[in-house]
Amino acid sequence: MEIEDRDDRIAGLTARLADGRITRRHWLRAMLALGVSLPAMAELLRQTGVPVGRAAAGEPLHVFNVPKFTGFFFFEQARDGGAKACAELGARQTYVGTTTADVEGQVQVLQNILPQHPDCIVTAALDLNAPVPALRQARRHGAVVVTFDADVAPAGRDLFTNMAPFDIQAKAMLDCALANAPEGGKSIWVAPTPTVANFISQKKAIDEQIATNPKYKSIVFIDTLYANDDPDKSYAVGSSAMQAHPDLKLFISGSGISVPAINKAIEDTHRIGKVFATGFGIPSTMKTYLEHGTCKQYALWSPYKFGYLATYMAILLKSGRVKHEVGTQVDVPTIGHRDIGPGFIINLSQMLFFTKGHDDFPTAIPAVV
Amino acid sequence: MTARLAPWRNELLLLGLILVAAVWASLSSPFYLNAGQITYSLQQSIAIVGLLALGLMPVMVIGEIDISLPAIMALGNIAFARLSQGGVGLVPALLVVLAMTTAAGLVNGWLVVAFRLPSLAVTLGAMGAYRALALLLGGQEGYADFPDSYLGLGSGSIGPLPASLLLLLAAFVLFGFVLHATVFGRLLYTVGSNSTAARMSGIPVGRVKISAFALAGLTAGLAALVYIGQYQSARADNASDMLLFIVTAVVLGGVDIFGGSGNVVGLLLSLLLLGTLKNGMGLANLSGPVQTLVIGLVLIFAVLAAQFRTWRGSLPGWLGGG
Repeated sequence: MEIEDRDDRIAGLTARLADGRITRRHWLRAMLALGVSLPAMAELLRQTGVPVGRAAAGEPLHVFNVPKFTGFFFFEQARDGGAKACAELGARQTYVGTTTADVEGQVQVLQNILPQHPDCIVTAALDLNAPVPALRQARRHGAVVVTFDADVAPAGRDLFTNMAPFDIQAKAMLDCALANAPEGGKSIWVAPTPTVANFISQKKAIDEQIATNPKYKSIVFIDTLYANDDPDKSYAVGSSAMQAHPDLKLFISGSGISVPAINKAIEDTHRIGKVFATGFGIPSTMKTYLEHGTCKQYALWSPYKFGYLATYMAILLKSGRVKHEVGTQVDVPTIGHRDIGPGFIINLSQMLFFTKGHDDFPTAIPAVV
Repeated sequence: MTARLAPWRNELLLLGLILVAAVWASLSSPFYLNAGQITYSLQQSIAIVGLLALGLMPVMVIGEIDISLPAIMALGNIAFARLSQGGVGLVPALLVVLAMTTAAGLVNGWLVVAFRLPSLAVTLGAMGAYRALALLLGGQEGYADFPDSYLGLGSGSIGPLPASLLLLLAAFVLFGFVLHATVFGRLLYTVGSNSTAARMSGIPVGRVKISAFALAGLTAGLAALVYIGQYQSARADNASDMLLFIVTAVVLGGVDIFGGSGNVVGLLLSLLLLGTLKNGMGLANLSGPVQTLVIGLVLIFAVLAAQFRTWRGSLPGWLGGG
């Protein structure tokens, strides 16, 4: 018995090494089984039909909030704003996303939402196109899709919530520049690369403001530098620019990554108070520079209000309280009078200023638009 | 019966885990138990990853690894985008892309064999190189607007079944045949078990290895077409987070990372398990970190369980060894 057992084991082992477990005979049998079961599976599918659920009448609307990725303060603020809108309008919210900025993962999250009869999907997309097939399917089955922060192609959404028109962004950045250096001076614009559309439009709007608004004419741009949205590159670009231009007064950037990195460069080269870096920043990375006085003021839009507005609009559109038409006027509590603009875009247009003592979202100062 | 099933314990374990996962999923979400929902979700979660994992399998059977497969697929995606922009039809475009991705795999294999380099290092470098090539070819922006003919395989269905799942199944059948019922397949396992012995027996080890890498490249090209169909878009950084899932699937499927063993049935089951888990956790709206944790724990559990019998043999009798 024992010997037999051992023989068995040895036979098993050698078979495993050569992987002789699957023989041609096994293979043919498997094929046969597959051939028989496929039509059965097909029939089963035919009977069960389309995998998209439908909400039962009388239940509260179900809003899914899908961030670019989870665990990031910005999107958690947007989630809380969304929850507020849901509470006010009698809907419920589910917040779900991947841990990393993973395009395929985000699409899978959306796919898994489809069978749960979503009424609204509020999302910040990681890719302009990849989520569109899933979102289009959701819309075909009656869900309202509202994007915020980052849009998808128009076929994939009902409405895009934009932070602000570029002229409002430009004014906010220029106001911050003057808050740091009231007398203006030589300035450098920092962008990721020459081709990012957002930054090209921001700079164009800034140039227009300087040309038309006397308040800003003391700000003189002498160069544009590219830092690839990378902290190290921003630090290096900032350091060498300060060496090349001893009379430089300001760095202005719409990149929340470049602004803190250049502030660090200013501190490391002992130029606090002589040169300033401002524009858009994120509280977690800018707090120390406000404390040190390296930066006196920077701007950002409110992610809380962002999530609030996107979710509020999604629920109104789904429940038919607001018409899905360009030109529709809406009164949004705590945000104000907004309208659905061409291309189905709605603007948040609420900038926040961050200064020493007002260095996080709850305490930041709303900009006067 | 037990003796006959014994060599299949890894597969049986996976089958058991799939059942557990499916039962859990149907208990935790009322939306899970629906054949349409399940195939739809599997199509999304395993059609592309499954092809890449299947391509990786022969490479791991010979005791090597190719971590550049997602990058090769991204290169294929961009090539499809460029070709469709140029008005090239599906068939010629597919042939060009398959030739391209096969060549990419071939180069990896050649570097590994000709210079006796570790495949992890070679394909780590290749990963960067193919991504860069995709960026050069496609730039940073994404492409959409593919003609319908390009999309059929990834998003269409044959009857009620998603075409991409049928393709995956067909690929498994084909790979099953090649790996387990042909001389070439036998050679892969022999080279993987002991390449020195294989060489001394007159087996052209180098050529066998290069073929395995080329085969992996070929499936990555096929995966690219499925990707285009499923996401209806292409970008140079596509699939940059896919590698971990692919390697997990192959290892969970029982393919030995040191080469020489593993079969397509185990791989198919591991893909079904991972797909079911992802589906169930997604429908239950579990948070991202929890999902990642569960997948990791399942992998560790499966590897431990598979190893348990081997350890038991070396334990003293009073601890259950023999």
